[in-house]
Amino acid sequence: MGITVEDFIYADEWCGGIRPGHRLKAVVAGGSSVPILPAHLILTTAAGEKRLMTYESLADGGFPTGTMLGSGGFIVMDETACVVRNTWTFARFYQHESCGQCSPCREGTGWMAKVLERIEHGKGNMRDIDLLVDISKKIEGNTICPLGDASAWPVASAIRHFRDEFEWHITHPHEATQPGAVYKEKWSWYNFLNFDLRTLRIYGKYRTTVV
Amino acid sequence: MQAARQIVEADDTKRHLAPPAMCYYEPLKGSGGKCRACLVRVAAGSAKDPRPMPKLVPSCITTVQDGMVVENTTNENVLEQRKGIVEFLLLNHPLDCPVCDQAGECHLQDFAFEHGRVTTRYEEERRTFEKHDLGPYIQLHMTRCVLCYRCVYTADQITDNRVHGVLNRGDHAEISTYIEKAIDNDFSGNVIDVCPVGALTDKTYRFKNRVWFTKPVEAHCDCEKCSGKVTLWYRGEE
Repeated sequence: MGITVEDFIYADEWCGGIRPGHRLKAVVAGGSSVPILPAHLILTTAAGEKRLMTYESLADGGFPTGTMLGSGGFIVMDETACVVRNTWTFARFYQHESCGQCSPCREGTGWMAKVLERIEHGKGNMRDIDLLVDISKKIEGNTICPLGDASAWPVASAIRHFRDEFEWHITHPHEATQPGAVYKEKWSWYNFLNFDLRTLRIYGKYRTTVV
Repeated sequence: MQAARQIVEADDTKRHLAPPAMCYYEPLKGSGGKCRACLVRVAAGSAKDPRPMPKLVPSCITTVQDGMVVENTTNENVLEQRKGIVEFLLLNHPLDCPVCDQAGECHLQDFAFEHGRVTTRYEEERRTFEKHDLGPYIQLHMTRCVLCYRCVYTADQITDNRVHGVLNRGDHAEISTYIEKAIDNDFSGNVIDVCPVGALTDKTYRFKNRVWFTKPVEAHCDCEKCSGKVTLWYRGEE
């Protein structure tokens, strides 16, 4: 608690960084139920401050650009991880966990899992993306317990931040269903300027001052 | 002292402004809160604390307060969310109303007619079950079930020992008896009556009649067991 997220991921005394030659892609900051964030939003907030491992700092920006510390699980993905597949896994988990008492969660979690399965297997449709957002809105806040909310947030945030990856799965069904196929981000100035030298490990041990 | 009432019962004007209720049945203790069909927005909590409630609340398990302001059909968001609830409830529903014995007195039919959208966006395969015979009078058509738990509460509260219940969880939950046991007691008919949809139907009634062909007649029963007040449903002039 209190150290920066960057330290937590890269410093050797904590997680030791991304595998050599790979790049940070996304982080699910607390358990599987919190919104997923892309690399640039997890390391710094939308306002440009360094994110700290605290409840307030991770929640900074609300749901559009923030996340939650949640239960303390910390999932870090590099660019070989597929966000669609990952979201499908979360949705399947919540489908299995739903107790079946109230209807939005009972039916909605299964529906989201089925739609995501279809997208992942290259049978998706462009309107499925908006459908997923709509289902998650109809579940969120309408259930007895927060499991419904927890199942809706990862799906909604994955689409919010990685919409082009979902669209790639739909527009390139053949490539997307190849084993190990992952969406490659388009070349952008942002990635070019923020190229992660730390992953090359040419500077030896990565150290920063712990705040 | 007046007993605590829920929002869904608070419609004194009898103008049918009450929110729709599927899983809530007033005489049953503990029923309600499951189907989320009756979600309303509370614009002001009470006269003492007039803050609005942050989320939509189920009106069947929210107690009425003095000075409470409830937005039922006047709120866009409530109507939008209800559309979603109808869609969720109908996801795995077979929509076989033309051959269903509950048609005409089905809460889900009324609810979907009032609040639902015309088409579904669901493309996957629906969950299906085999029909089951539960004893001499009841047939279970699990595919139609909306898991309101009303039959479970009924069996719990008016019969000595309940032999049926909800098995499994999530979207593969189902109503069933313990190891194919039959429901055979004096009150088994109540279980059929409280079912808001056509999941539990009367075998003596199946495919023989329609509810809109019958009309209710107040009658009296001379037996010693009951209060004597009964309603007979006549078909035609029979």
